[in-house]
Amino acid sequence: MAAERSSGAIRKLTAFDAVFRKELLINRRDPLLLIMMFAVPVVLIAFLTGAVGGAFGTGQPPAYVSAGPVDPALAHRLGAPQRLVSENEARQEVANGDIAVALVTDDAGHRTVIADPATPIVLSPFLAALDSQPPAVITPSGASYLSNSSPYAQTLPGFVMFHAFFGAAHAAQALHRERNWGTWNRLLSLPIGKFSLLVGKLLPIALMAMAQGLLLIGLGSLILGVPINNPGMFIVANVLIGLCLGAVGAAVAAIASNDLQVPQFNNLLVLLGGAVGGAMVPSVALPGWAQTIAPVFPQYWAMQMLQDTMTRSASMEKLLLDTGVLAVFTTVIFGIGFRCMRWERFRHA
Amino acid sequence: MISDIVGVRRADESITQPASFILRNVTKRYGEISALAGVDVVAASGRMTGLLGPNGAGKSTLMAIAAGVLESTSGDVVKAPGLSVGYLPQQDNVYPMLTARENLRFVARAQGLPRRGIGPAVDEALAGVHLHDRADERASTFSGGMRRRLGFAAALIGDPAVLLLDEPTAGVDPQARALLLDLVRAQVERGKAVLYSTHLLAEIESYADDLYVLHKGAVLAHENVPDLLRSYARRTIFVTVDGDAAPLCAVLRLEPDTTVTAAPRTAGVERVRVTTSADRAYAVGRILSAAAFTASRVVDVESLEPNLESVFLSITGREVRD
Repeated sequence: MAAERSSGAIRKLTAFDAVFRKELLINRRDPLLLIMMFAVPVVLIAFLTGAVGGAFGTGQPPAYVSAGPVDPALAHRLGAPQRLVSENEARQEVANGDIAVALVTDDAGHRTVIADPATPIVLSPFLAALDSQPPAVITPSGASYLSNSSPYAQTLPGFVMFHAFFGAAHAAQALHRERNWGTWNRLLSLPIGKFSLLVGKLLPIALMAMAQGLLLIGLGSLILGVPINNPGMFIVANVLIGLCLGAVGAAVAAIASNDLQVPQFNNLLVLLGGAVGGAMVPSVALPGWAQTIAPVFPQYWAMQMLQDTMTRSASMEKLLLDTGVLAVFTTVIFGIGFRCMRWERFRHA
Repeated sequence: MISDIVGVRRADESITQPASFILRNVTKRYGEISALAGVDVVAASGRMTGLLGPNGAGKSTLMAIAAGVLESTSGDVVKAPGLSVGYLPQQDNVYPMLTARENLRFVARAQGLPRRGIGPAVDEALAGVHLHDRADERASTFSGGMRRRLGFAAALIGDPAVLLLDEPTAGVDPQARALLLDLVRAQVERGKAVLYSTHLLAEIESYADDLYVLHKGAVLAHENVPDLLRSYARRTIFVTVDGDAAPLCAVLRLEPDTTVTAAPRTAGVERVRVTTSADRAYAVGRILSAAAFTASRVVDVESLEPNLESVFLSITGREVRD
């Protein structure tokens, strides 16, 4: 009995390996995926960063927290602070991305602004509204803000992650193409099981997305000087993003009736989730309603995790929260795809 | 449900060869729609078992269940332990972006062939379908017939004891069809059990040993082909009468199990079509007797031998299906 089980497991593993290798080979021969995941983000980062670096500011001072006494005249110009906090709390809130800016005023009335290096576009209106001698602006770690902030801190992870999710359409189309090619029923006749079959089909694209994030952001970080403060969790972030887009591919394939519908459904998710989730413009710079719905999109958490591990120095609690939420998103979305997959539809109408 | 049996067993007394692969009381429902309603099919070693039916009869559904691709609503697929099954689905089923060799290597790997055995198995399958000289070309460059042969080669990978071939000649030219049928016959002669689905009567008539006629999800007839012809075929006899054929028609209509229709008179003769289940000598004798009785002047009698088409129409009716 045990021998039979072992033999069955080996057969499944062998069939899984065959499906996985076949998918790699097909993807290697399809330049569309490589163009979409690698070439397009590079072009966008190179040419759009200047525009995104400052063009999306609202002109209004962003929400902020304050440590120390609040000057009523200043509160009139900046708006009332969201909370009164200690200096340490202010640093942690900015480091966690909970707030973009904190104003610290010491007993002598000397002001310091603590700002999130990942969101430079909200700083200018804040400083303008201070209407005083520009204060010393520092990052949560105490370093000089001006020498540590960069618009690439937004566009590098933002555009790369944004385009990674286009890979979900490719994953979904890979499933539908099996029907177009008439090979869907051959796959189902293999001794592999539906779960392993789906994972074998999606894993190559998930791996390519992981490679895309690690390579493009890693190289971009070296070339553009954007730090990766937590390399270990940065790798975890890219692994999770790869798995998540694979899961999205399964769900999109299940929802779409044919391969022509796939880009429509996927674009909806990629564009909406990417924009609201902060891939194009920092979510703190978006209107309130957009900030409210942003956490329902996996891209929001992907972006949070990338920035938390790169330019921010988020606490482990915050990183574990990002990790957990992305993992839950991945599991639930894959579950929807697996359950709703039209397994018995062998060909398109 | 697919289960194993020890050895082989007979599920149907009319099959004289040992059974290799049995579909027992298989049903498949899609909501309120019944695609298969309790179908029993036996594919025996060394025989080609035809599965004949009009479009929508349930042939492909039955094949997919036999291959383990679809789950039946109830019933069993019974096969000997370790029995390997090769499956050729109805439509093209090759990866156009892969070469012929890569397509077959994928199937060989997925079937769990030992690493060292994959190369020879692929070469043998390619040679078997006469594609060895195109092995390293992408399938996207192949004609429909070549893709079908490649799909057939994929079904042969691992030398399975049972071949499930779902309309293997659909959409191919006559030369490719002849080659495919020869290849199938060669597999039968090697002792394989072949379950062959088609709606092309000529293929079944020429190549199949046993035949199941499937209609609206049920087996309407199952016999070997000559017996089926004897059981179901209705002979058609054309009688040409010089003058009025009405008296002759009136007498012939009194014969049991006989249908008589007369075409309008042209050039002074009438052509009468008689269909009957009686054998040729008896039927012609009765026609000539009736002609003598009615003083009809018969100038020609032409008897058409029954064929599978008449059997098929007799069993399934003449209604056009979608």
